[in-house]
Amino acid sequence: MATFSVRQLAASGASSKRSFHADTRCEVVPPKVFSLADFGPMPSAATNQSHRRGTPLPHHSGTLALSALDATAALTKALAAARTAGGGTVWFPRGA
Amino acid sequence: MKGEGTSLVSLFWQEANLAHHPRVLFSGDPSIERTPAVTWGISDLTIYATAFYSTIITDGARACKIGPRRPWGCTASARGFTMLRVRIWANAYFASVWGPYSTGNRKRPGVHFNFSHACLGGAQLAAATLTGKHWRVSDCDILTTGDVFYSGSSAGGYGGTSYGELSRNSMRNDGNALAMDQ
Repeated sequence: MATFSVRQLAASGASSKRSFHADTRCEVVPPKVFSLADFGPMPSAATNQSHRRGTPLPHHSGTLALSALDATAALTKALAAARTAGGGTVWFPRGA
Repeated sequence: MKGEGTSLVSLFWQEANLAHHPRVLFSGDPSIERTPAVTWGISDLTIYATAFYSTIITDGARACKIGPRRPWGCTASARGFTMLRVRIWANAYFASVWGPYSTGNRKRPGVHFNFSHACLGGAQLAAATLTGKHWRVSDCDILTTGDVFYSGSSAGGYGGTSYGELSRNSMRNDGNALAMDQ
């Protein structure tokens, strides 16, 4: 499982005019979480269980097409949602 | 988290003076604060972080909210973290004339920005902070004006960092290749 944070992609006019000395506010990304699972299908529970037991992911052994683990579409949607919301954290469920 | 190759998949954090900024760009499960250990990995991906950052990747969970000047503290212990075939281009000195130990009292003339390095942790600015046990970083290509790796007891993991392997990595950096305290 992993996450990565997405910065707000459009700076507001007020922010860009803030002086250097105002940076003591030390704002951080809003604590909004966007799970890939909410934006598209994730790898099956069997795949996740296999990974949890420590066995290699199926695509490592060539027994399952890589497309079965492809979360590109869900990731694209999650990034867009985070951007629209003004920033946040995109969460990768196990297996993504 | 697996991409399809460093030349095929990249994530870029925009260079802009924004109102919000993440303290850690990649981390373990944010729902886990301390135990159980977080196990995850990142591979086959290029990361561009050419503006503000404190830590690009940490093997633990997200930093605890223990204060704006210690964003790396209080991460969960990680176990078995892997970082394979990852390319990082990072600029630790965005809009700053001082190095990563700056307290934010100096700035590049004519440049106004919302964050100082102190806000983001100040003394770290590592491409990867390794806090757990049995981690492995191999075949990575890292270019950074700050530290490449940071590890040790104060890196944030509970119980200390141990049993790590760094192998076959290409590092071009201005800070420490590996900063490890006792």
